[in-house]
Amino acid sequence: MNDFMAKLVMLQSKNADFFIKELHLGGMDVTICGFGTLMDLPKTLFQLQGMSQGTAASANLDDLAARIGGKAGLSANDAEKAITNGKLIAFSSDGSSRMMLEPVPASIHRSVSEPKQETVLMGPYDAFQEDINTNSGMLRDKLKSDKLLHLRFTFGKQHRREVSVFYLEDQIDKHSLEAVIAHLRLHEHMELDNLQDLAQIMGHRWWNPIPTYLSTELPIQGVNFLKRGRLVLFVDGFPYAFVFPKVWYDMFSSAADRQFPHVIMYFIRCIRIISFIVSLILPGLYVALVSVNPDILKLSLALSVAQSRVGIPYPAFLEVILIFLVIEMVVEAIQRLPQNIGTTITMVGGIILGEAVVQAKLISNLLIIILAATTIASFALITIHASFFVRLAKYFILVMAALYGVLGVVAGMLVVTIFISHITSVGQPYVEPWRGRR
Amino acid sequence: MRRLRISRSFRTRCLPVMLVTLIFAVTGCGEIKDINHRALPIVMGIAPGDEKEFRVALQIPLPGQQQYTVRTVSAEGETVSQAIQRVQTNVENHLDLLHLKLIIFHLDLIKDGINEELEYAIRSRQIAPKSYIAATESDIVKLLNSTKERVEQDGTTFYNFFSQTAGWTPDISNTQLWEAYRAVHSSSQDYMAAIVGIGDDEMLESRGSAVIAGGKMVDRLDSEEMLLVNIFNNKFQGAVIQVLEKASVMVIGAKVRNVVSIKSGVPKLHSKLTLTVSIEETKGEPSPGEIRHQLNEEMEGRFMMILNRMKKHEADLFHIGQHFRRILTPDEMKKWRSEYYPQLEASIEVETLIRNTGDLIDQ
Amino acid sequence: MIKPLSLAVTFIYIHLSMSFFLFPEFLLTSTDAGFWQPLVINALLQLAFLLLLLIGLRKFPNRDAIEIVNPMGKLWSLILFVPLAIQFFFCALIMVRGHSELVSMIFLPLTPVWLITLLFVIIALYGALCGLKTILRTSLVISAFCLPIICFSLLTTAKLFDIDNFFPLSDGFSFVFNRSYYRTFTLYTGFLFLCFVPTVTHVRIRWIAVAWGGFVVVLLFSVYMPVLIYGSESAATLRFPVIAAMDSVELPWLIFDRITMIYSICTMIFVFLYISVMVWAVGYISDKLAPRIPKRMMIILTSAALFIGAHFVKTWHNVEQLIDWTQPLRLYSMTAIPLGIFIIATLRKGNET
Repeated sequence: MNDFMAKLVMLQSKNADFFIKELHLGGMDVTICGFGTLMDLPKTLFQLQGMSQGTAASANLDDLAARIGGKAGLSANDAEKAITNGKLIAFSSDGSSRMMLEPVPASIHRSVSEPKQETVLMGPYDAFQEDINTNSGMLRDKLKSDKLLHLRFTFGKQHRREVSVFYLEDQIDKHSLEAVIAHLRLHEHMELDNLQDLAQIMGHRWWNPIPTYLSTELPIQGVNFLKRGRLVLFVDGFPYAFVFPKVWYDMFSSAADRQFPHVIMYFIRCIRIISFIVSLILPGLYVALVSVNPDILKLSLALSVAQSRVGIPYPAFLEVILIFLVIEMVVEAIQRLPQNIGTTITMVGGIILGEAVVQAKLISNLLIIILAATTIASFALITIHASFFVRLAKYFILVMAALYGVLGVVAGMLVVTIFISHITSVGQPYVEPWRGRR
Repeated sequence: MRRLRISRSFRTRCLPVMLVTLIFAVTGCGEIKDINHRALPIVMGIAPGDEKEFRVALQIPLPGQQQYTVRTVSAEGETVSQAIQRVQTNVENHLDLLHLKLIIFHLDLIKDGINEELEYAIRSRQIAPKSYIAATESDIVKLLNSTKERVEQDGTTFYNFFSQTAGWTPDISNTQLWEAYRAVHSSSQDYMAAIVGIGDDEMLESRGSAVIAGGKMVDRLDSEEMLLVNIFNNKFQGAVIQVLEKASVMVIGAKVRNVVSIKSGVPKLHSKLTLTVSIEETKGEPSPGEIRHQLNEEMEGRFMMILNRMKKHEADLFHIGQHFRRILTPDEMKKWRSEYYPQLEASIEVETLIRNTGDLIDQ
Repeated sequence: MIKPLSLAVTFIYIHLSMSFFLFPEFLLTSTDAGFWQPLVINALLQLAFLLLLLIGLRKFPNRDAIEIVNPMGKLWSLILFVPLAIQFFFCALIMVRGHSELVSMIFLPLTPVWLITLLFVIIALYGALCGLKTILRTSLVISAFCLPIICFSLLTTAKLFDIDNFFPLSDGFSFVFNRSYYRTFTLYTGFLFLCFVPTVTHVRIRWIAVAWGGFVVVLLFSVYMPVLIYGSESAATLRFPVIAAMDSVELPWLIFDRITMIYSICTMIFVFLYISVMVWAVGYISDKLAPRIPKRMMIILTSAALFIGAHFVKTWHNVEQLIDWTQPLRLYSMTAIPLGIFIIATLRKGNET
């Protein structure tokens, strides 16, 4: 008990927001302590006073706990954990018995707002937030079913982070469920600070650029995936729902497509698949057809391409690498520009890159078209991760094309396909159609 | 605090692997020859040379700052490939025969036999078997030079002359290289090559065609005869036939049915040619019956005349031997041209159907 | 559905990988006419041995051939499977070297041959290291890309067909005496990889039989295509009849000028997959027969040996010689292994019951 009091005094001396207060509650003298920044203290005190108004005075702390709904019989260890979790601890003057109370939380979380990264064409506009309980609540609100089951895990020893797992009991695929729970249980001691750690917990290898989970901000997508037998994970502090497992088809189809008629949905998905292939092979194909195997082009096209390349000082491969690196830099830079400067810079950059570089005979104008087509196509995929993967893979195919021509393009595509076929996402092979109910 | 770090030893091991990969990449980029550093000849002319065996002339469009310039480069050599090699030494770009569309042989060469040149063309992977072949009587260098300006406007001019999707008409023969090569070894398929020369407006002009059997030229056909051969071989798109002096009809469809048999070593052929035509132009007022009758007689007469000439030269221009493959054994097929074909007894029946009379009603 | 389909597709690819390049040349030089005869006879022989093998394997589901033979004695495993491993290695070597030569002739005349061989070997290595499951999935995924192109290219040649070239129908059985006929057997031994598939995925006989039918049809088409266009005499003189035949087709409305190249490159994918499967199979056999050598190490060693061996096969003539030398090994594998597995499986089943 003395240790406990000593600890509290030390906490108070080191933390400006830690308070120890004496209070008269329900006819007893109790001392409350906690972190003032995690709770709304005036409201909490007001409520406590209100709850503990009564005729009889409590004899001891346990009695008081029963009256005002606190949890009594707390060990010193639990009390410390509870303090860092934002709870209010009340203890008797000598520190012998301790009681935990739920305070009115401080409003340090965002309220439910619109999604920041995903655009909704037709459908509800609310999005997940950082607090894990808000997210869980939103999910339950959208899917009112008693089959919806919820498991909670806590990760890390120093900094505890909570993870919630949701699934529908009658739809879930048993293998995936077992795999996910096994992975989570195995790594409970690991620190979970960022999504790399989450991926690693779920068995993702470091050299794999394709993420093995889906992240979404929209509750409606989460519900959709649950109904199709997948698991939804929430991590406290991240405003996303993480869906396991992921299959390659998810790169091209999103639940939001289902708001449109069937035929349109298939058409849109076809466009996405075509843009995937285009963004992957187009630069490589340009290098292959211009430098290594020009006999595949039709004669008039070959002549006009040769015409457009007259005077360009370096080979096509270098031309392509140069301009694509510039585009990558532009894409990276645009992410960090504030809104008002951003639009101006993009306009200027477009004009400079497009016109001036062609006039200066540094790039042929055919390549500008290919550049535009590739960049646009690479962003037509569903998740931003898929676009990253495509942006990375096309360089590999580009190098293969420079070495081996069109054979290199196709061999590169084969290597990429083998790579994608080799990946599993919590036990589900990436390219096989989803085992659970579609 | 357990975390994954890509271990340092792995990172140091990666470095030499990457360096070695870079070395491979550098040595491997020997294939790269940018398209503007390649010369893509479109037409090749082969003729007997003055000092050496062959003279080869290539018409090459070279990209320039504003527009194309077309150069004709020629050289001589003991073999065709040697001549081409000599041309390469005189051209600043890398010569690529990949886009060759037309090969023109000089008639003198054809008279001696072009089988070996055809074999060269097929053996070298660069020349596509679907390029056209033609013949000419004029000097090939002059021929290629004088069409320079037209080709500068549009590089595919020569190709369009023979292409079915552009300016080809059925009274020119558009034989492709593979058809010519086929005849080198085949026992029953000969071909004809269009003879071209320079026309008035500096573009190609057709001057009949040469019938080639066994690699050598054996006969010469004029445009009407070529038309008939093409119709018989199913290349009749847009053919306009003059029926004596009374009318012109356009052939819309042509179907040939052959009945073949062998009786006591003598092959017999009965063909029925059904022509579906539409009337283009009339002079006087001929009745449809008259037109049909005249057309039938003309077609039949011409066919028999050409066939008799071909039989004398042992040239199976109508590919009649193909129909006999079902009846003869492979050994007999080998002797088709020498033994069976000259004894062929053929008869043809032509039937004309006038499908419509165009936009005017015939009274 | 996906698993048996991917196995069937891989089966077709493994056989078609050779059928487009080396096979038509050998078949067309083996006889003057009636090419369907040697083809159908070989295919039926293959079907017989294939069914023997599959029925033998079916007696012990989920066990591959080595696990079936081992309990009868290690000696039998060695007699049956060591020659098989050697045969797989030489098959892969022939394919690697032959196709490197082909690529060098058609696509990349200026690139050094060892670089092209390196491409084949490295991709095969990567595929083999990833395992057979991955290769099966890959064949299915890549067929969405390849099959339309290949079907389209093959069907466009139909424009130039002259049906009369199909006749005369038969030339007797003179092909049995021609050496080229025996070289065509290189195509038919591809099915032996099925010995090792049951541990990876369930083998359904009906799917494999349908795949066999499909591949025979495509084979007939690919052999007769140059004959119908060029005539049998001329077609026999061509080194790559299918490619020459496709080069003769004029398609003015297509973006590309030479569909042949695109078509040939797509069939190269089959070759890559074939070599991967062969290397994987060698690694698998060594893993089962000599477990002390780690499987990955064996696969890497096999690939290195392939690369070095390809260096020693210097000319096209050497490739043909290699095919002739490994002929007895091939015939032995094709006949002895299905027979051996069938007999041993039946004996063991008899002992058990």
